Amino acid sequence: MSASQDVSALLKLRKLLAARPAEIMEAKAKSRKIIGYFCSYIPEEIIWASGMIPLRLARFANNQVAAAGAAYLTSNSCPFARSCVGLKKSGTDEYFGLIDMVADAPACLQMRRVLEVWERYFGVKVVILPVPRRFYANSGRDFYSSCIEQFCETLEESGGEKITASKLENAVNLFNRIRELQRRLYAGLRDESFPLEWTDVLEVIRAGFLLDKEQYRETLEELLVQIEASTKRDISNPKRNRLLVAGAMLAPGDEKLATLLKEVGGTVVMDELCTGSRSTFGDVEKPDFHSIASRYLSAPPCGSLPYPDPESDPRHAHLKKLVEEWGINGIVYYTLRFCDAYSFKASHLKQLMQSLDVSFLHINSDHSDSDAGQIRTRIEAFVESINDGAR
Amino acid sequence: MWFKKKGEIFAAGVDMGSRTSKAVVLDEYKQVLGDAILSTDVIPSRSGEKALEIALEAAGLERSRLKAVVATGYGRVKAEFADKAVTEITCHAKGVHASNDDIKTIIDIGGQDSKIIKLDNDGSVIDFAMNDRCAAGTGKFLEVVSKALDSDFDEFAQLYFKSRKPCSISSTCAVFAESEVISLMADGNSKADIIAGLHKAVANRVVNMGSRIRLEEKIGFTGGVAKNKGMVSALEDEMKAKFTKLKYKPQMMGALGAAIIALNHEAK
Repeated sequence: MSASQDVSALLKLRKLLAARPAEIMEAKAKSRKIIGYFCSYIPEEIIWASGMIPLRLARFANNQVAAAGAAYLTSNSCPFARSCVGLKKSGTDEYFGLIDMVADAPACLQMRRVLEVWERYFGVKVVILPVPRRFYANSGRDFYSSCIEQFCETLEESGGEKITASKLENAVNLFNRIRELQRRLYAGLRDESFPLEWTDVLEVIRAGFLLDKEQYRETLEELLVQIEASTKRDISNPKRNRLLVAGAMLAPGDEKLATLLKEVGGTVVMDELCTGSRSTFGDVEKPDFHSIASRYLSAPPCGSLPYPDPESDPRHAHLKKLVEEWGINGIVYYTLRFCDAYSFKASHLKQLMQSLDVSFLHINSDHSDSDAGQIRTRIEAFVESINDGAR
Repeated sequence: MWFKKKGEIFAAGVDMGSRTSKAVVLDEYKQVLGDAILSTDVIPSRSGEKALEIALEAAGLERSRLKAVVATGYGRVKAEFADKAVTEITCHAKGVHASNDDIKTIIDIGGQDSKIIKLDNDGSVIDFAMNDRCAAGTGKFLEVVSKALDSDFDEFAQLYFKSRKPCSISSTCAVFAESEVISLMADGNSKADIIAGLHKAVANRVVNMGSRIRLEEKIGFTGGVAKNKGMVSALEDEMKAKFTKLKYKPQMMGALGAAIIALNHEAK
């Protein structure tokens, strides 16, 4: 982390984040609408082009607040889902309180239920873009394209500006650029001398969920320039483990895994997370609805979406590519307790990775600290076995 | 381990488990010069140090002669007296491999956890499965049951082999084990049948935990529960394979492995 101290753009990002809630309130006072969303299938470009402010809500509540959320779901539901409901109910997160409307494209049933609860019990207007199960087929893309077109009209009716061709083009270019800059940050992690650590990159990605997109893009540009110029880290003692953290949600309020990994000497150089690198891959080719739909549906898919053929599964192909390009020798697969969708896929992924000589550890937990000791032992043994050079 | 000439370099491993703390002192030929086991008290590192003291005494060595001390087990994180902390998974693998280098799978049942560890030809860990969140399938369960039946561990093994018709057990939850035993006794089942049934339930639980790890021979059994011959038999029936007898004490494998790692430890 010390090398990142001479990267002032990171500090700037934090300052912007601290000022963001007040900024949003000012925007609201000028009648701008705030659209909250949870899942990465939402075409942010559309929200931006309509002059509305997209905010990605991704955080885990403490146990008490999550329990309040469970009252509307079940205590056996995903901790992220419980958090999304609990945080709205308890009013303990300022961003949640600033949302005028929610637009979401839930890939999983738990998030679907969260949206129903927000609408039915909290009286928030909810717009759903249904993610097609056949996301890999032309029929799926055509369908999603029509959903996106419909989405434009819905936003206009909800107080957004009319989305003209040029506004759409600007939005598409802006978000493509943001993704490109974020990809460059992740690419930097391949190199041990990179001044930022994985947790720093994650922090930058998370900032992007909340900040003004133009401001964010500008800061990202600055950040990359500074990184080029800054001191490289000492690589005289190369780390023997190069890990990838895969899963769905890793968000503020759930720091256990990252903290423990660091404590036991695990070096994370990449992730395959919904709240991490996943949404940085794939760009929109042309500023039209069909291209936008194609981009969102052909980006690395959410693990909760079923895919019929393991041999051609795009998620597997993507993971393989990451393993190769980032020189990964161990994957920590983090599934949230009660997330069946991701857990079901663990054994197959394990076999796949073992056939590539990559160690695989499945951690099934949640954001609470009650099992920190047990998780630590597993991660520590995993890191020890990789450092030992078993592979 | 054959006693050759005593070496010049010494190291120690200390395994602070939930119930017992163990220490092993080795020389560079991996000969055990002294070992010790005692109950873990409220502060595990205290028991760890005491075990180390006793093992050193048995070895006839001063603490200062040790190249390094490696701590393992649940008490490893706060063991200030050790040079390094290594997980019990890695230590058990090292210990077992030093004892029997043809073992590929280790089943370890301790006081409060159970685990299955897969090794490669060099004794490195390639996979593992753990149950450390629930007392079912651990020594704790057998302890609760032994109190409920008023039988000690030695009787367990005897009675296990006397069973004609092992009871079918509905739950291996240690919290409800006592009531389970009482209702089985009230139904007129013999102590032997109850004990056999309970052992089989534990064996089933442990082997199922490793269902996604293929059990590969040779297989070794470590941990305090390995001293229970009834459990050995129940596990062998469940796995449909025999255990390979370890050349050193099964309960001391973690400490042995830690000591071996200590032999190779380079102080910074």
